[in-house]
Amino acid sequence: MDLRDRQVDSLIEESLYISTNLAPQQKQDAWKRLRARAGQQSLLPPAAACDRPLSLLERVFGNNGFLQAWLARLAVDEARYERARQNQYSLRYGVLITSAGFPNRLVEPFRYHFMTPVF
Amino acid sequence: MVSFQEVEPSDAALIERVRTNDLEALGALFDRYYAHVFRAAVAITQDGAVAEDIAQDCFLKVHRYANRIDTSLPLAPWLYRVTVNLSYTWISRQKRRRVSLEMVVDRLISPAWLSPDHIAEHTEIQEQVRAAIADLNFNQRVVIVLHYLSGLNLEEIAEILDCPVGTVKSRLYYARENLRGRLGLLNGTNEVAHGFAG
Repeated sequence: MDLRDRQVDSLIEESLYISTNLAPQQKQDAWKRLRARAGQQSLLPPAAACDRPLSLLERVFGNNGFLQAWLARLAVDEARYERARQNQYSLRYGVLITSAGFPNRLVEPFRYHFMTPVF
Repeated sequence: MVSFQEVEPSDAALIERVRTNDLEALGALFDRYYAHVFRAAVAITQDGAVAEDIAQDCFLKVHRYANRIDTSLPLAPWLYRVTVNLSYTWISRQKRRRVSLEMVVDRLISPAWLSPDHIAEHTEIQEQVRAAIADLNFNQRVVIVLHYLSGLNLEEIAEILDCPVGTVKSRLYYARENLRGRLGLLNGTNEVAHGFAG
């Protein structure tokens, strides 16, 4: 014999409510403990701007974002640079990106900067 | 006409005061929400002592993180989320420790945190329902507790658990089916549930 939905619902509600009873004395004791512990701890300052999650735009274009990291890697990673340089024309003609070669020209001065020996 | 009825301060106003380390304001929030948090924690963890610790930690977080709580949003979902997370952490640790079967059975059959009055009210059926709820997996149990004990709707639960409403709906459905199965089985074999059949 199946229990009807309403009966199951009320049975669950009653059971949960009764089995989680809280005595007034329990609550008072809990407050005393909480008050003592809260008095000993300090509040955290408001969250700084850096604590909030970054937006997609910030992740891509922001400081240390994806684009900056990619350009930096392109500038210092020889193999990556060579691969990009060799493929720039195929990209230009193979795909409808006419300015596909620009990152290499753009990166060239940075390569000099990054690769200059520091004494 | 002037109303002389005292207006209770809003949660946001109380949190603003907690930010100035006003413990009376924390006390007002405690009065307002402690029972809800404690009850949810007991129902999820099935352990009164642990639930007390979880409720304590939850309100300590209200105090500690007062400056970071968004007062434009209601406080209750934030409290429930912390409660669920703390309960989950405790249950995960318990699983790792592999609590002995005797302890679990003992906890289910004779909960030590119940007052004598409470034990008197505790009927056998309710005990069976409670045991059936305790047997649900964590996700289903949390949804059952938040829905039936805390009276939250599907959207509110979805927000607290940070999951789609459809997921909450599905968990609630399967949890109820599981409970219905357990109680239906009892109904056929045990006269305790007979009164609920008709």
